[in-house]
Amino acid sequence: MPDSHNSEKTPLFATTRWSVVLAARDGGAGDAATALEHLCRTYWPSLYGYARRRGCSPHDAEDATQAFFTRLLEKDYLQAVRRELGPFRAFLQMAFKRFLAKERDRAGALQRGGGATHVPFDLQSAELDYAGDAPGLPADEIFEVRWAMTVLATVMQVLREEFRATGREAEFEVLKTTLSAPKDGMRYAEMATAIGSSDGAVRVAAHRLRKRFRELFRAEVAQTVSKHEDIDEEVRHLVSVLARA
Amino acid sequence: MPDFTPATHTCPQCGAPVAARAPEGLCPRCVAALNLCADTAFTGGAVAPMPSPSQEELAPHFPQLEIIECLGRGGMGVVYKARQKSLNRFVALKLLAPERADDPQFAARFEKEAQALAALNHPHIVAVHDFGQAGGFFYLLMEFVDGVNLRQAMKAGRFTPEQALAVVPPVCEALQYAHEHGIVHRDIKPENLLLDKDGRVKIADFGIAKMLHTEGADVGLAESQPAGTPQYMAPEQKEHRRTDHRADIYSLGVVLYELLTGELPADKLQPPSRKVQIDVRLDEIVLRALEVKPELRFQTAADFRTQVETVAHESGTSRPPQASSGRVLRMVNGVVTTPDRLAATGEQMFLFRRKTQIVLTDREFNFTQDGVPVCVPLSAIRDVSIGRLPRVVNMIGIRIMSVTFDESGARRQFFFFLNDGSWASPGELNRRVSEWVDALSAAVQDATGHAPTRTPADRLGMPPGAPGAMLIMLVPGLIAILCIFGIVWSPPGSFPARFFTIFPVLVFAVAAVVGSLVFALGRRRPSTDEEVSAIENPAGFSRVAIVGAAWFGVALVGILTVAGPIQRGLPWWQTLLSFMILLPTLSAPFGTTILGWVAVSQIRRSAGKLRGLGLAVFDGVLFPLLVLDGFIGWLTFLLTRLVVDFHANPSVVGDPRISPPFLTRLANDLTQQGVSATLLAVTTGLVILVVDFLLIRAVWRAMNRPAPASGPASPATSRSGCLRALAIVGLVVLVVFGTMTGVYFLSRQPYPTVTPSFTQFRLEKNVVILNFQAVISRGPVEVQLVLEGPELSAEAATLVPASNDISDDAEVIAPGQSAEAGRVRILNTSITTWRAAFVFPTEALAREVWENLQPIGPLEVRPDRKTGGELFEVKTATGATYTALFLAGPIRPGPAIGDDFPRGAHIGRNNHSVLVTHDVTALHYVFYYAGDFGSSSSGSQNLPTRSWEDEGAVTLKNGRTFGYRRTARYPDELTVNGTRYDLLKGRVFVLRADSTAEQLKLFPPLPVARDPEALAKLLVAQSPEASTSPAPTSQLEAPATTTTVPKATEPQAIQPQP
Repeated sequence: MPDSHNSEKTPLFATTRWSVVLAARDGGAGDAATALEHLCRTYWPSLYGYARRRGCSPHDAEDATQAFFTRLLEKDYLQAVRRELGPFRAFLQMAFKRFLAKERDRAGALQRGGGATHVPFDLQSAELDYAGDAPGLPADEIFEVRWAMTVLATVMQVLREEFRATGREAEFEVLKTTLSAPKDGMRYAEMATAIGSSDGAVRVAAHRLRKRFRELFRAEVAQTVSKHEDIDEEVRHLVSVLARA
Repeated sequence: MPDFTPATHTCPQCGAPVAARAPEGLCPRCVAALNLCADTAFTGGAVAPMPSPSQEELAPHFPQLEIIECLGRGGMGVVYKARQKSLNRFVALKLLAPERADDPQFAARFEKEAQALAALNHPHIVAVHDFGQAGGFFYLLMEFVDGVNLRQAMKAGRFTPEQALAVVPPVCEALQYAHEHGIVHRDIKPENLLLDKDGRVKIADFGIAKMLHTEGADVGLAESQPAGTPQYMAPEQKEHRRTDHRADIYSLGVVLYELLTGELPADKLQPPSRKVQIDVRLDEIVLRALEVKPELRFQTAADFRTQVETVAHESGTSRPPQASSGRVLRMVNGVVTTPDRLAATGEQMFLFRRKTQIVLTDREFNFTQDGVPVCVPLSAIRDVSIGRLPRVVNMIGIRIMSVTFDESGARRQFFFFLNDGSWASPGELNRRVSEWVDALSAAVQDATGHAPTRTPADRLGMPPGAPGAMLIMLVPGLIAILCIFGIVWSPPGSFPARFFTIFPVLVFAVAAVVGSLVFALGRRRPSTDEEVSAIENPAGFSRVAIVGAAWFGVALVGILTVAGPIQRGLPWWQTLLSFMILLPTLSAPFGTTILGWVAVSQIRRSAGKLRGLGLAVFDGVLFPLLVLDGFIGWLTFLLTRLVVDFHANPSVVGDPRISPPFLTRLANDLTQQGVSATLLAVTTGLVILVVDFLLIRAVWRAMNRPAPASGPASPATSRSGCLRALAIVGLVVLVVFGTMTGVYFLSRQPYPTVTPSFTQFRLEKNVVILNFQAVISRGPVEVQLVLEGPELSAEAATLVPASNDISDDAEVIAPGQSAEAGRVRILNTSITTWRAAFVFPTEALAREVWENLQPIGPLEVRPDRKTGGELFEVKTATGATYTALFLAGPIRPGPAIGDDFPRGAHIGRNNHSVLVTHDVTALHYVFYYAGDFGSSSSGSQNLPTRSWEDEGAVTLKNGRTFGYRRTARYPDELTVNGTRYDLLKGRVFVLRADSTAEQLKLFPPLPVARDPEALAKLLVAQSPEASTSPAPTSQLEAPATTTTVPKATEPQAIQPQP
């Protein structure tokens, strides 16, 4: 997972990054470029997985993704974006598909880097992720799953960072299982001994963790949609993708 | 923490393998199962996390299914859309609680419940096809509902109250059904109410809540939830108390509340009507369903349904008056009108069109006016009184109720007729009115503390009736009836008959004049205001006016018919025509006039919404003016005759003191119908025109004065409206006329046809014997076989075999007989067969004929000639030609007289007259006289005719008795070959029956003036001497019968037949 990316705190729901991008695309404001770059850096594994499944070798896939982002950051594509198109995810998928098709027409003459912005990738991690995905999944599905996983991983990362900031990383290791465990099967007592706390305190902590997780998850999703009202829909989409995964 | 970080790569929750690189090593599915959506309801794992197995994983466990897609997941499990391969239908596969797979108790409960569910068979319950356990899943195979759930439907758009109310009854019905089967849903919520594509509601997930959570299992768990969804749960359900079917009623109440208001009921329950504009009666229903105590709710779903349907039904129609608040005190169906409206004749005539339900509650007085509910608070009512309608429309003095009230500063008055047109005795109606007036007054007093005033009937502003107008409407009708009966009863040729024959022309002329005058006047009213309003709000043409005009048109056709075609044609045609025209024609003067004035009043009240005042006025004044014109004409005629009679009287003529020479001359001229008469007629016509013009103008102005918005709104629309009206009127007239014409032509008697055919019977020497058959339609006709050719020689005659076939059965036809001499058959409509033997000179010729017979096609019998078909044509060696003809023609007097009348004694076949009477008894006789109406020198054609009639009754052999009537017409005289016969003196009367003569014998013998033989002799002789020496001796009375026939004597033979 992209360990390299920052963990800056952004105000929840103030403006989403994607909406900033959309609003500023014509003005070319610095904010927009930063926001877009951030989004790209976070979600590139989805594109990578998609390109791989479309038959690119790891290098070609990286090149394609890199070139795509370069093009994107140069705002070639953003001009074509219509607000109604919906979330960033949909835009990115559509744009990348077109990009790949166009590039293929150019007989694979992928433009490497382009000398402009270069988004640092953790290619190895992305390739491992890809290898872990079910081999039978179609490219679109790979994209969706990777995307949802990225959201999940990002949120987990932020959550972990938060615990680490207060020196409770060990506590997180224990409590995180409550995010997926069946509630009646939880071994609160064992957890309590493990982190040296009372049963009641663990219950409260687990509750808070889930609550925080949910907030962060929605916050992350919010970054990729243009309108606040779309958050729920996007969350539902991601949940359904994860449920299928 | 190895204990907690999953050491193995399987999820402890769902058991599925966890990807090595899953975030934090947690199963993403189970993490995603956290409630991530709702903003506030997050309580930390509220529902059992349920992974959704992928389709691939499921496939091996359900070989009979083709899993298509995951439809969704909820607290109860995951639902897939699948195709059942065997039946090729879509089903919904629901997987339940995999974590309970090992629990034998659950398995038992699941089976029990599922069996109960599968027994539920109801159109509004999602059917359970199958259930079981496969691959660690409990599953239910259910009916697949292609549609959305109510939650999705609500998101798509708010439900209207009507839609909301429509959802509830089927759900109640299904709940009632399930409850009767001992099954409680326990989780009624919008998500579980599915709407299929046709909008049918189906309840899903019946009993599953109970399956998954029994009370006992749940209570002990701190973080667990009771079955169901908290917002929709009944209080007792939330508190884990004993629940029963009434919990479902509560849940449905919540759903209804949400459907109506878009919100869930808050802690402090507010009636839905506080939030949205709905029928207040719904408050009661919803609140009752939402009672905290189950005992206070509807006790059955059926109760709930009944209540909802009552409201839904009533609000589905027009908004009911009693929907308003208050306790209903009285209710009655009646008729409402206002003083303004009642002033119009049309309203008086058609009072019963304005029906309403009148409802008195303890707060309000409600009724509906023109479909708009009027709600009068009792405090606004100022006056309640008893009134009477004008006597003209209310001859028995039925009372009405008058209510006056204040509405936004204005005072309004309404009249109520407390009967909707159904029958009720006047006494009862009047009592009803009194009771209502008292009740209303009392209610007002209760509500406000002081009683409303009461006004005497004569000061209620009741419009007066218009007896004069009624009379004007009635008079033309009476006159028209007189006219029609005048035509019917007047002897032909008399003055009334002649007058009434030109009556239609008069009607036409007056109609044209009145129409054009109205049209001309009507065009002169363009007003910019009205143009604008007409453009903004295009007005409709008054249909009543059009109907009135069409009625007049139909009557016109009727009158023309009486004058023309009805006097000719078949009896049934005349009858039909009479019925068709009698009613519309007789009623037209009333109808047109009344409709015209009704249309006028409607148009005047419509404030520009209706056009066609011109046509309406035309309808209204046409017949009254016609009567007036007739009266003027008649008056002129009377006066003129008075003057003429006086001044042309010999006693005054020439006396200058009394009658100046000018007047005398004038009177003489008038008597002799000279120039003066014409002048007088023209002057009278002009006077009539002027009077008509003045009257129409006056009427037109009167019609337009008080109601400025009426009349043609703009010239353009008016003209197109006029044209349209004219087109409609024309169309109606055309259709009626066309129908009558069509019926007339169809009813005309077509030509008779004869379809002859023959079969070869035998060839015997020189005789060809054939069997003939003739199919006659629309008989009677004459049929004759003729063999043309040289006469037989003596030896040929001897050749004829003495066969019975020939001598007895067959009609022997030898060549050389004249057509008149041959046997003529008069055949009625029937199939007749006979045998004919053709005799030829030689056997060879006969054989040749035998081999060369030609078929004959159908023959159409024209009234004026014979038609024939050739049977064969052979030539002898000597060149002689033998031709056989099958002749068919109209029955003629001469040869047809047959045995009773010497052959060859026909008088003439042109212009003969035959009267044929058919009747249903199959008795048929032909009665004719022989005569020739002057094809010859005397030139006396078209002689006046006299008629002879015979009436009587006869009893047939089969016992049936019927009356008969025989008539004949004959000329006073006729000329035969230059000889005049005076028929008035009784010369020629030949009666004869045709082939049904036997039946005719049933009749009493007809008086015959002359011995036919004697007559024949006379006529055959054709001697001028014979006819020019008529003897004066006569025997004028028929000796043996009561029937008299004009008779005369003929010197040769005076032997009346008995």
